[in-house]
Amino acid sequence: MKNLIKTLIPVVAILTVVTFVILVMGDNPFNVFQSIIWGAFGSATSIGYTLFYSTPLVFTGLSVVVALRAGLFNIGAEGQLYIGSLSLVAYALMFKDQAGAVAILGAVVAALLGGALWGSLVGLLKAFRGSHEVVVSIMLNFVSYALCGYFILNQFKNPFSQNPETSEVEAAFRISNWEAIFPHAPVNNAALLAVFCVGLVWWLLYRSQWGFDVRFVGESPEAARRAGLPVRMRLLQVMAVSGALAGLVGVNEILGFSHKMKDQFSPGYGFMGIAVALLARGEPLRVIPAALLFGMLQKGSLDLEIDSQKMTRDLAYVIQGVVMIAVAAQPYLSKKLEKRWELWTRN
Amino acid sequence: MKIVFGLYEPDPGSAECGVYLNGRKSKIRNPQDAMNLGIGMVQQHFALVENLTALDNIILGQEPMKRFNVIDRAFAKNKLQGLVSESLKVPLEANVEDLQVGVHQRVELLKLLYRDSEILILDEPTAVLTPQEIDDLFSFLRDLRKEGKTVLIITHKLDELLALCDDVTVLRQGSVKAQLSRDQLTKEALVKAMTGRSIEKFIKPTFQPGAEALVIQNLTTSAGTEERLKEVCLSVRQGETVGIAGVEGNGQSTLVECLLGLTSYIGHIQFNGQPYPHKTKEIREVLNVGYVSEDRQTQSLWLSGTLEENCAIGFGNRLARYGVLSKSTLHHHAEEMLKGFDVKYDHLEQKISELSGGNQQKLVVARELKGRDPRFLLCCHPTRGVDVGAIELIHQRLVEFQKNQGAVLLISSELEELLSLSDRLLVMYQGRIVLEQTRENFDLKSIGSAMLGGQP
Repeated sequence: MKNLIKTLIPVVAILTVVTFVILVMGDNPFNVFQSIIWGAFGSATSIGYTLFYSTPLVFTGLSVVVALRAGLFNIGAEGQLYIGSLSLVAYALMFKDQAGAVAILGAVVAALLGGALWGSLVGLLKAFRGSHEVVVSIMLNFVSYALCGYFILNQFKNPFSQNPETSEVEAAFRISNWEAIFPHAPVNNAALLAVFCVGLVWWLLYRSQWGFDVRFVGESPEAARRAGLPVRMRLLQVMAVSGALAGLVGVNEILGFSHKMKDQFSPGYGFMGIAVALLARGEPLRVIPAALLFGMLQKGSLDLEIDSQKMTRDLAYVIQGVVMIAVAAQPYLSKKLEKRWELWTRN
Repeated sequence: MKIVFGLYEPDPGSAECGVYLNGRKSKIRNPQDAMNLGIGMVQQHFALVENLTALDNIILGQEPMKRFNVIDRAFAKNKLQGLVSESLKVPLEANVEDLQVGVHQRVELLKLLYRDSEILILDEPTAVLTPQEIDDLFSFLRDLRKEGKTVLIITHKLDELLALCDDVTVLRQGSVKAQLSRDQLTKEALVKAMTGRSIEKFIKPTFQPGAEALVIQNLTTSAGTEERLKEVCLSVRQGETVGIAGVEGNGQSTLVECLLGLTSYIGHIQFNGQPYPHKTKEIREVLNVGYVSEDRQTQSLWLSGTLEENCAIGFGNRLARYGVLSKSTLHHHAEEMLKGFDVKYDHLEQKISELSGGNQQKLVVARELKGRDPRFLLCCHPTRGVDVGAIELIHQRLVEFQKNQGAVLLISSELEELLSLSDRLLVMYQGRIVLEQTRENFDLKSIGSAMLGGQP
């Protein structure tokens, strides 16, 4: 009972605030919520889209979670996912002749390595130069945008397109989507990869010696140092893993959906990953529901734009913001509420 | 005490529980309320602003104002002059960071008097003081008592209670175990109330030390480090405990950091005739040096981890199989390690932060002694903030370790502990070893004055 109230209260608070915002905008909150929910879950196709939008958020959410557990705040998942995608597309376009599993596996590894490279730059500077990871990773985001822009427009440009995008990858590099279950929706096997990664990260953190070290370093850095742990190596490795996970976004986006890399294709998956990780409170298993929530908002608000005259898809960002505030306030509020609850049950 | 001072809020209980002041129940929601009621507290860790003067620290929060919101320092000074007796002289204009720890405490006390506190709470006030400073403090507290102030002192040192107190309340595991008034106050009664049983006076047996284990020659650290070492030479033999006394902040922490490979140094360190490694990993995992840190919560323990995890710290490579740490391995390891160390816990997957300080420390000692089975133990403040029962156990284990030809370097601010455990005692002052005495001719007076930088 107590726990139920504890989880329900933030939800009620969030709904109240968002309702208020919608009322101020002059729309009917009931219709708006209905259209978001309907947009996200109304048909097999819309569920497929929701899953498709959630998949990259699982990758970036995990990326932030892993870094968070080592006490690092990785704000650079956005840049890491771009570099991961770039190396994926570079591999696919340069080694066109591959076939079968080798092609896809190679592309996935390329994405992992690209992201890992970008992440370990942050880790390297943090571990051996003491540069703050937030500053470095945010600056590397801009470098990655520029790099991707350069390569897409100069090296891999699609000559038959006016848009800033690369040529399409060969058929061998495409992974199957789930047409049969979710017609016309782009959700694909990358979603399975995402679920697998969640399990893998959980296992790494809680069952491996590496994860033991990482969590120890993150939560008690001074004790870890004095126990003789290789603290710097772990920081470097964690950032590499974090970056690699973010890099996998390219698998969903390029191999599974557009088959080419568009400049600036990410609507901020890397930054939403931060929100997902915080909502999941650093627990890998909770990344899935958190990512689904944000994926649902993403998809639902697209439909909202069509249904409503007054609301735009930006409502999704408003809701995300309110959720973040609620998450941040929750430890404080729940303590207060617990006391109230105790008083109330006693009398 | 933190509840009385309004730092913590008590859990709501029945109507009659709460804090009563002069017979009236008072509501103290925050430190401001407490101060308004005339309650003042000196925390165990002082709350001073390092780069302000002593005077500014005292008036901070209650600055007397002249016109145009200018701070009236002259007024404050006058008021303080009225309060200050000879035993409480403080250089008001000096920056706090330039003053000694003992003076810091006087500044804290002045803070309370300046606020007209009637009830003074002191949490472990003697933890950082030298014997002379303790005497000064006590005579000052006696003066205060004569003036009609109430002094509440929290301490785990029995002699202090006997020397100072009119009434003693013994708390153990969150409840009152005994209330003793002056005429009932004996050491035996106190110990009994604190531990639930009586404890024999601990007398350390003497052992025949073996060959030299740790030899430090001319250890000097660069000027950059705060507590700089200057040509420190010392040696510890197998089966010997060497104590290092000194007021905190005179280079002890730097010495520890050198021996852990955390600070670079000039000079030579040898262990059993071999050069001492520089890397922390090698020191801890190859040379297998045991280490009890001065601050267990941040330097020894993984406070948000479980008991199992804390027992596994430093043994990752030994316990893991192909990089996997299985639950059952951790469990068995912890179970095995804690045997014989009397650590009280509910289950091994409990968070270590839920344990009392004494139990946490026993776990650390178990890990570093039994788990690691070292030849050399670097032992800093092993019984700081720990109950009497745990102190007894830890001391016993240290002696056992020494009996098995282990070498111990013991750093402590507790002179009594050093005197009872060490075979040789060194005094450190401003990064130098200024005095060395062997067990047969320990002399409290010369040790105390050496700690303050005087000539022995």
